[in-house]
Amino acid sequence: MLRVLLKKYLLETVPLLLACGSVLILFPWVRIWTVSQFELSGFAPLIEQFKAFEKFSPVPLAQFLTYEGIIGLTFAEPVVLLCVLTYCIARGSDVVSGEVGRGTMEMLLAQPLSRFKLIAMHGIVSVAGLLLLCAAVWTGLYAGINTNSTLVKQSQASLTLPGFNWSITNPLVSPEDVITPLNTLVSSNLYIPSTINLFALGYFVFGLSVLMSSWDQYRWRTIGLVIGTYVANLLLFILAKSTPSTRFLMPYSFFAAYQPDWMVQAIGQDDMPMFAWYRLSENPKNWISGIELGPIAYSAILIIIGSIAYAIGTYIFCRRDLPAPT
Amino acid sequence: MTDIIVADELFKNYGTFRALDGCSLRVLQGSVFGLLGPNGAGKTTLIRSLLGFIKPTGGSAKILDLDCMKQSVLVRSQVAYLPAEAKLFGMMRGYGVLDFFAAMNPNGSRERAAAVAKRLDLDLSRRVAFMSTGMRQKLAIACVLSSRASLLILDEPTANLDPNVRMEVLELVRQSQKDGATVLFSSHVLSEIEDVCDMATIMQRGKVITTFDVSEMRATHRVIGVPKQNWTEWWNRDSSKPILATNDVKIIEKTESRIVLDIVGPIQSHLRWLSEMPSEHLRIEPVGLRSVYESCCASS
Repeated sequence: MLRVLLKKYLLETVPLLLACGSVLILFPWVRIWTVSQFELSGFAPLIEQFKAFEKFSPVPLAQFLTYEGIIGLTFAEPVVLLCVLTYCIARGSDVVSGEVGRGTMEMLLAQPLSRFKLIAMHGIVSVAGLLLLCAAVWTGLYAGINTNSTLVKQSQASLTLPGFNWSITNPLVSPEDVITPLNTLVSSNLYIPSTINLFALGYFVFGLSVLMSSWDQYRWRTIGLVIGTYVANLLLFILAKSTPSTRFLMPYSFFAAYQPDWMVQAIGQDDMPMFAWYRLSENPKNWISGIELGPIAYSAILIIIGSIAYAIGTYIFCRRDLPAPT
Repeated sequence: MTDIIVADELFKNYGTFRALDGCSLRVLQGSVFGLLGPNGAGKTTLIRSLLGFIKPTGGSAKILDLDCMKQSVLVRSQVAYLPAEAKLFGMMRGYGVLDFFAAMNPNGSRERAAAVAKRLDLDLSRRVAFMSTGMRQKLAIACVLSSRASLLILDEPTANLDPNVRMEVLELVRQSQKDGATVLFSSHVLSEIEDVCDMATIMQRGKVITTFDVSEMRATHRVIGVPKQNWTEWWNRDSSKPILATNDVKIIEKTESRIVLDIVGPIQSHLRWLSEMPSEHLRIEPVGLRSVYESCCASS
């Protein structure tokens, strides 16, 4: 029975999964190709113009002059977020209010199937799909990094005087642009914690969608509520970043735990261990004094809150009255 | 024979609205039991309470001695349910739906469902999303009536169907009964209840108004007379008294202008007595479900 139910949910998921998955593989790849066409140091004057907005950025703007940083920005791209969130909201909102709204829940629950098993089977398929989507993003990054090259300006040729260990610039040879494979400049493994963080964000939104769906009977309303919550959190996050006096709002927005750009910087340049929960720091950017949360901790926060939302949603669905189909 | 459904004093409140108001019901195993009532009478609420879709505010219900609230999964393993205007998965084709429900329910069978679909002249290759309302209803009927469940609960099974298919569905219901199933048949179509049901109940405003034996009702005749002035003499005479004292004759109305009697059982034995009634007009007709329904709904 459960195998049949899994098959049903797979059939429902596959079209959306294929559509979002293909975008999420191709987009990072194409984006990295585009990035590889430019010598990033040329953007320094442009970045300087946006210095006033640096407080809204999770990382110093100078980070965007490095290939690591500019590739890490993929996780903040609206296309990537849109695909992941569309999938999560679509699947999460469908489980109860979608089936109830279409009237199919009646026939489904007329079978000897507990509500818990129904929501659990749906959850397994949806979370597996989300894992695949996040894997697709990383695959796109991996493919982009390993198939593209960029022009890197070599430093001026120099001579080392034997016996003196002095280095003298050779003025007769002008510096050259050398085609350098991107994989010699950036490691695709650097983006694993950010990919996990993207999964955590998706999982949180999925849990929230299941919670909203569990008590509702109209899918459009569920989607509206989830998007409303998402936008409200985004505004709260921006507000928290705007001034020092509103910074206390930061922990109340789940975006505070979505930090893929910061993870790239912390691991790539500040020697943060890739799978660290926290590290001691004298100047932490986080909320707890003396402790700087690590990449895994940020993702764990989103996954734990998402799981709580999912558990509450399951509890509500298992106890509620099912409205008759309209 | 035991009762397959036992509902005791079921209450269901939605805020101040009372959908079920102390509804009690017993359905005998092996029978086809009709559930009648106007819109909003609580028929569907009762059915959904029995299946555990909604939790009653008070009272208890059991199917095959299984508690409908606490053991609803076990209950549903013994029940095949056809909702009113059943909705199916739009992306699936007809045969996909049959496969799905045959695999989901231990009493289901792909072959039997396909045979029922063929009997109902249903094109299974079509996607559900592109089926007409009637075709979808046929598909749902094929899924439910092919089940070997102990209890079939059919909520308006013939809605949206043409007359020929209606007849076929009623035949399938009779067949299910012959195969040993009990059928709870909710409908607004009185003739269907009259055709297939052994027992029926009429609900109104969340209450069971009356439960009656349909076969007994079929054998009941209504006598309507417009009496002449000297009718009390006929009524009070010695030969009338033993007839009026039996359970076979029920006085529905007795006024100066009209006498209405229901006579249960063979009418022949009463014809002589009736022919002596000093009446200007005398009409004898089968009672029919309509009369019972109308009198119940009017009196409550």
